Amino acid sequence: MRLNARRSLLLLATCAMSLASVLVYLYWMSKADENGTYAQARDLIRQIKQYDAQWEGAVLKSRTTTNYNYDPLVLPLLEMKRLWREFDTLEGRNLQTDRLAWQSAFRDYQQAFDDKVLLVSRFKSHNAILRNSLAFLPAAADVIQVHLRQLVDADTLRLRRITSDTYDLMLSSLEFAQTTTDDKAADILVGLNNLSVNKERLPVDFQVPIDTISQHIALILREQPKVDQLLEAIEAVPIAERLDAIALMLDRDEQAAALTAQRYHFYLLVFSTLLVLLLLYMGVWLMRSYAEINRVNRALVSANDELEQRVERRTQALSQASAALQREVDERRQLENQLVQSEKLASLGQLAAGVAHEVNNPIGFVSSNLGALDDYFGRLQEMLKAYADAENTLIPNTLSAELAKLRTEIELDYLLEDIPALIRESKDGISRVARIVKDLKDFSRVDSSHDWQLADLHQGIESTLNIVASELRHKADLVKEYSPLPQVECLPSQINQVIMNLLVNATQAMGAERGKIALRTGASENRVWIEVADNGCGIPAESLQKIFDPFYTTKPIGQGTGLGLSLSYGIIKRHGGEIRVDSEVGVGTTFRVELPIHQARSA
Amino acid sequence: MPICLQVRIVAVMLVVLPALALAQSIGGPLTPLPAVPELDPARVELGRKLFNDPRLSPDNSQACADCHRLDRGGADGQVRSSGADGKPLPVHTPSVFNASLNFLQFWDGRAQSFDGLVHLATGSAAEKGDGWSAVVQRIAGDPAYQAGFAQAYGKPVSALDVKDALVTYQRTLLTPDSRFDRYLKGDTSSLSLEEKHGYQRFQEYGCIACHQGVNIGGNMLQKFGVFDDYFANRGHVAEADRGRYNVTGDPDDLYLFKVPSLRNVAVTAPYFHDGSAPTLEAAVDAMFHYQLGRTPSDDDKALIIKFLQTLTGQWEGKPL
Repeated sequence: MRLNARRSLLLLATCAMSLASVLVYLYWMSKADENGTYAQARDLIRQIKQYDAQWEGAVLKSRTTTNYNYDPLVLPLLEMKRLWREFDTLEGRNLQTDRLAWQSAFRDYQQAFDDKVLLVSRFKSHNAILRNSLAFLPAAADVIQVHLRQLVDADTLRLRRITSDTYDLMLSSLEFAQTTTDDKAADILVGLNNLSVNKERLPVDFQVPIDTISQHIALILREQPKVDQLLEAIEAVPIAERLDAIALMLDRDEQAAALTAQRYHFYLLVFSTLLVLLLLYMGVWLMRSYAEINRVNRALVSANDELEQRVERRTQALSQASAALQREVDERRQLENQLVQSEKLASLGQLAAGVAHEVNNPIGFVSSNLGALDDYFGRLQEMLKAYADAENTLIPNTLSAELAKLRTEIELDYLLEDIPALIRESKDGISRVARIVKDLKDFSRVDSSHDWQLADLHQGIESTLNIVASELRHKADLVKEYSPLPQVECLPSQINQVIMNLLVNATQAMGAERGKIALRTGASENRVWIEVADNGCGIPAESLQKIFDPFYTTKPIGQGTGLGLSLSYGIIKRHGGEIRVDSEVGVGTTFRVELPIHQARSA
Repeated sequence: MPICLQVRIVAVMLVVLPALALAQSIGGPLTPLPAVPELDPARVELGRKLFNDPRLSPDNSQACADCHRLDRGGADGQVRSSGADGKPLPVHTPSVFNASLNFLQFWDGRAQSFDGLVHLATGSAAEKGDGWSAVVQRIAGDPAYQAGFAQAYGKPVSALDVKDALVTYQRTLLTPDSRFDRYLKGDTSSLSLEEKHGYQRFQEYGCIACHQGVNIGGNMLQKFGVFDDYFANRGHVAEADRGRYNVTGDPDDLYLFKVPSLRNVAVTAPYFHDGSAPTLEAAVDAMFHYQLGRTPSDDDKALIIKFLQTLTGQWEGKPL
């Protein structure tokens, strides 16, 4: 897979590379003479031509000038050489259409140039001495004339002829320098011969100037045709033609190059268009595939989300089921406990009911007996009072004294006072016992524990208070804040049990100091509420959530079952009510029980 | 006949005189030396070192400067200098001063300026080119040269750059500010009356026909022995005496030599390609006899020599 990807990447790179190189190639080929190479080359050729003309001009000038500076015959050739080198390197870089033709053109120019250099060089040599001799001729003739005039004793006619011959020869030579013809050359040759013949007749020291002029004339005779030939040859050297030919080739090359460039321009255009089209196609394709990828991606994401949701839902369902199970387990356990508790309570109630029943009889007769006793003692008192009054009237006094003494001994007066009090207290006591027994019966009304009935809650609270009174009394002051309550449809014994639980808990929350427990009741439209508030130690927040859990207890093991509040919770729930707790550590705890006045499902 | 003669004189003069007048109007055919060119100092310094380095001879015995002594007018005063093999070279050593202004180099003009300015001090100057690779190897092995070439040319030592350095240096070997140059530049007081007369004679006798231009010579080839056969008179003609013929093989070029520059001529004796003229007088005599075909008066000759002595230029601010 990866190998495949690499291969396709390689393929793609190769494709891109080849396309790019084609583009570059076309661009390169379409660059016609960008640097103006042709213009530059033409300019060089033009300059060379200029120097050539300058050179030729210098040559012609040197032909007519005696004392001539030959530097101008050297400098153009150096410049031409330099320019040619430049042209050569320039042209070497250029694309040449016809290499052979170019080579021959180069060769031809080089040949012409070399020829001309050689010819000019020779021309310089010959021309220099020729000009010298030509310039010297008049002076040389003058010298001869001066010399001959010094010859006093000679034949004047002959001398004059020699002089005129010399002049004639000189002029002929000068003329010869202007128009070089074979006739004139022959004339001069004849003249030279005449001069040498005439010279023989002169004294030796007169022969020297004649020899000199003869030498110079001979030189002119020799050099002039050479110089003329060289000049002709120089003029015939076809440098300009060669340069023109090169310029023509340059034009042709340029045209060809322009044509090629044009063609490649066209190719470039076509290729670029194709490339753009390809790019467009690829762009569209890319966009499409991108959209496809996006779509698939979105589908994937949504599928993923759905899956997650499903998992979540399942998890939720599972946890719900588990919670339900737990709840069920809890409920069952609670139910079990409640069952145990109610069984306990039922048996306790039965016990209490039995005890109450059994105690009720003695209470009944003790109570009635005490009433009878009170009545009897009243009558006895009247009797005793009568006896006391009769005592004083008794004679002998001794008997009366004895009676008095006995009365004092048994403290009869005190007894008479105390017995009614005792009877009264006993009556109180027995009536209290009777009430307790009644409460006990009320509390443990086992028989009616599952019967919903309308009950006075205050009454239930009171009887419960009586049961826990002993425990409560040592620890806290009870404050009752009752509001009038309607009769509430409930299971009174169970509600009592709840109240007792709350009261016991409140009592147990008290510390070493004596606390305060408030019992508040109230009613709204269709609900009643009972609050048990203490100012005890309070419940920490972390425990608050767990207090209604079964078996949750903060008490030492063995002291509490941890069932009290849980049972209470269950009871209140069964009543369709609510039990809430509000607690602050160190300040106190308030339990609030709310009950509907009427049970919705009382049927 | 006299009338005819007069007509012809007038006719000839009509042609010749304007030409002469033209010549005068051009100004003197001699021009002053240009200033020493401003060239890359690093390359000039390299060239100077090479010029004085005996490693440029095949056997490490001779430097360029051994024959071309800058303290002796750019030559060595010998008739013919000794080569590396101890034997005299075929021709007299010409001055290196102002050589860059000559249109051709060597007596026989066998080389153009650039190449001609560089030849190895071999046994024979004709053997130029041999041994170059060895020389370049020796130069390239020297760390100082390596650094120098890297600095001046930005690349390792090559034969072309060695030559370029030497040529560059020699282009600075000009001797400007001779008294005659000052005269040419307008300071007419720098020549005495006699010297000015000497210059006049120099022109009148036609010396100037060949010795002209910026280098007072050096821009043409000329046959040695125009009016008389120099070599027949001197005897025992050697190969080097055939001049340019040795280069071209053309019989027309027999005895053709480069016209030497007359700059510093007073301090570069002996003269000619064979060093045969030990003094200026001898050289001037030979020139009159063989080249000009004329016999000057002693006064004129003395004046010309006086003029020639004004051509001595300066090197590094001091007259040669």
